[in-house]
Amino acid sequence: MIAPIQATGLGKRFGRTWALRDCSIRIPPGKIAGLVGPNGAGKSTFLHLVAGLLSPSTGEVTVFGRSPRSHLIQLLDRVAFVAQDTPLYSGFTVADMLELGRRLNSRWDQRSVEQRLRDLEIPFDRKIRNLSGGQRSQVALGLALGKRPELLLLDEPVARLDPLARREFMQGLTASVAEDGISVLLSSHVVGDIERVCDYLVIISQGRVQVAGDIDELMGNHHLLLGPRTDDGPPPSGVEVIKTSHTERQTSLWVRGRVAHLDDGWREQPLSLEELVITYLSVPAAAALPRPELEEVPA
Amino acid sequence: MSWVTWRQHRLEGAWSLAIGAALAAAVIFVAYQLHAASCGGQANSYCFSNELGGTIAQGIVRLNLYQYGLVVLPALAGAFIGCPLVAREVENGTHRLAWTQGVTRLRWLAVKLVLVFVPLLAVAAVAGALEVVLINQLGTTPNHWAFFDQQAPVVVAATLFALALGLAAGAVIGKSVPAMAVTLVAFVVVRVGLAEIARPMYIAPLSYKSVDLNTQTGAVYPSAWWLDDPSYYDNAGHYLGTVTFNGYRGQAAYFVQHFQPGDRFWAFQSIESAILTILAAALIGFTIYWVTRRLS
Amino acid sequence: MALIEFHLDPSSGVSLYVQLMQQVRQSLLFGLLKPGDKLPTVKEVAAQVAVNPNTVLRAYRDLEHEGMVVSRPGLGTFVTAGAPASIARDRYRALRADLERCIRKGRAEHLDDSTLAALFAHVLRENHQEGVA
Repeated sequence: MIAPIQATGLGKRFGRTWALRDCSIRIPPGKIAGLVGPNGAGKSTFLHLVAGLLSPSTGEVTVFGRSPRSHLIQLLDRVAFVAQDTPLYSGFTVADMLELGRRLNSRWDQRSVEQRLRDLEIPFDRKIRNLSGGQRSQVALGLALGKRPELLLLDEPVARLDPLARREFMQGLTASVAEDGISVLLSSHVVGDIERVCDYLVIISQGRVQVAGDIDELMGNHHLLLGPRTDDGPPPSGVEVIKTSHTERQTSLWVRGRVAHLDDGWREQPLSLEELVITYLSVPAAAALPRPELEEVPA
Repeated sequence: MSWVTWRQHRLEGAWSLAIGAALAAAVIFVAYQLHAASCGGQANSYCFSNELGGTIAQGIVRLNLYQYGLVVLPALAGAFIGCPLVAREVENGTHRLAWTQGVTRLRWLAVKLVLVFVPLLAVAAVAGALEVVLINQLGTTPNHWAFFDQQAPVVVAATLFALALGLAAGAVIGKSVPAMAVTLVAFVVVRVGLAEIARPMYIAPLSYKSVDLNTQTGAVYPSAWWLDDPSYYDNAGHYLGTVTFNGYRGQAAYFVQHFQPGDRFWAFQSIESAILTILAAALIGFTIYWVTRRLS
Repeated sequence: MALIEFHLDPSSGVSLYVQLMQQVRQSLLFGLLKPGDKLPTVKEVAAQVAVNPNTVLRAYRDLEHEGMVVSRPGLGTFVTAGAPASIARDRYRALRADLERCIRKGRAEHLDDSTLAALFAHVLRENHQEGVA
C-alpha cells in the first residue's frame, strides 16, 4: 500500500536555522499518528511540508507517492489540513464556510457536515468571529472532513481548548475515522490525547525525528527496570539502555528490548506513554526508528 | 472560486463602485453645466452660468476634487485593494486554509485577480472617458495635455499598474500595512518619474522659433504642451538664458521653445498606457511566480 | 442506542484495549449484557470515549478469539451463546471473602495498598504465563 506520508532525508531551513533536518519516516496507512515534541521542535514545519505549504530545503516528502508541491488537484482533494489556531474567515458565517468548502472541493459531503454541526448545536448563521474556541475547532474539523480526505493533518488542534471542547473534538475525530478509515497525523503537546487516540507515534526533537513507530510495539518494547545501585555492571542482556539514573541505593534503567530474565533484586515497572516520550526528549541522542522498509514504487 | 472571491471582497467592491459612481456623477454634472452655459469663452477656460447648477459645478471645479481624485484614486486602489488581496490572507494565516482546498494556487490567484481588478478598471475607464468629455467642453480649443493623468486610457493603465504594484508588494511583504506604504511610495515615484522624465521624450519634440520676443506661445498653439521655458539666443546664435526682463539688453534676437503638438496627445496616451500596462503585466507575472512557487 | 458505555482510565497502567475487554467481561458478569446482545459499534465507542477505532477493533477481535463475542459482517458484534454466564451471587461473595482475608493478612504485615496491588499483579502475571487461566 502506498504510504500516506513518506519522507526521505527531509530538511527545511529558514535563513540559517534548520527547523527540520534529515527526517526519514514512513507513516503507514490507516493509522492515527501522533506527532509530539517540544515547542519549536519542527512539528509545524513538518506538517506544512506535508501539506505542500512549504518546499523542502533538502530531501523530499511524498504524499500517496506524489510531491505535495506539485499542487495536483487530485492530491489537494485527498489531503485536508487544519493549521494551528484553526484559520477561518472571521467575517464569514458558518454556512458561508461550508459553502466555501463545497465550491472549492470536488468531493464534498454537505449533508454529513451539516448533520455533524447540527448535532453539536453550532448555529449556521453565526459569524466565525462570534464562535467559541471549541466551536471554531469543530467548524474547522467539519470543513476538513467534509471534503472526504484520505489524509487529515492537524496542527495542535486542541491546544487552546478547554477539556470539554477538547474531548468533543477528539470524539468527532475518532468517530469520523471509524466511519471513513482516513489516515491522520496530528501534532500535540498533550500526551494524554495521543495515548487515547493514536496508534502510531513520531517524536520530533530539535528538528530531528527521534522516534517513529507503532505505539503498541513501542510500549511493548520499552521498560523501566529498577534495582540496587550498580555503577558499571553490564546491562541486562538483550536490551539497549536509553537512560540511566542513580540514587545512593537504587539504579533506574530505561531500556529498549526484550527483557529475557531479571536478576534478583530487579523489578520491572510499566512505562506509560508519557514517560516514554519524556525519556526520549530528555536524551536527545537516543533514537528508536523502524528499520528501513522496502519502498512502494508508485504506479 | 468566483463565489468565494465575491464573498470575501464584496464590501470592497461595493465601496469601489460607490466611489466610482460618485466620481462619474460629478464629472457628468460639471460637463453638463459647461455645455449648458455656452459662454463661448476663451480657450481652456471654465465658464459656468450663475444659476445654482453652475455655482455647484464651479465649486466642484475649484476644489479640484475630481481632478485630484482621478490621480489619487488609482494609488489608493492599489494600496487598499491590491495589497490586501494576498497580504491579508498571509497575515491572518488563512492562506493555510485557502491553499489546502481543492483549487490550485494559480486558479485561486487568477480568479481573485480578475474578479477584483476588472470592475475597478471598468470604473476607471468610465471615469476617464467622462473626463475626456469634460475637457472637450472647455473653451473653444480644449487642451488635453493639462489633464494627462486623468483621462482614459492612462487612468485605466495607472489603476492597473497600481493594483499590480499593490498585489506584488502585498505578496512579497506579507503584511498589509507595510505593503501599502511601499505601494504608495513606489507608485508616486514611477508616475512622477514617467511624467517628468520620460513623457516629454516619447516622441521627439518640435521646436518653435520666433523673433517676436513678446509672443505668447500658449495662444499660438493653444492645444500644445509646452515643455520648457523659451530659450533666448542672440543674433549669432549664442544662448543667453531662459528668463528675460529686458530682452537681455536688446541682445536677444529670437527664442526657441519646445513643444508637443495637440494632435500627438492620443499617441502619448497610448505610449504611456502601454508602458504602465507592461509594468503591470510584469508585476502580475512576478506575483504569480511568487505565490505558486515560493510563498508558504 | 448502545447497550453499555465504556469508561477508560489511561493512567491505570492497563492498556486501553484490555480495559475495553475487561469492561465487556464485567458487563457480562454483572448481567448487563446477555447472549445475543449487540455490542456498541466501533463508531459508537469511538464517538463516546474518543479512542482509536483500531483499539476497539482489537478488543472485539480478542474477545472473539476467546469465544465471548462473534462478529457478523455488516450487522455488528454480538455476545455469543457460549459466553460465560454471570457469576452466581454466592460464588462471587465467596471469592470476595477470600480476597478480603488475603488483604487483611497483608495489612497485618504492614504492606500498603499499592504493594498489595503489585503483589497481586505479579502473581497474576506469573500464573498467566504458566498457562493457568
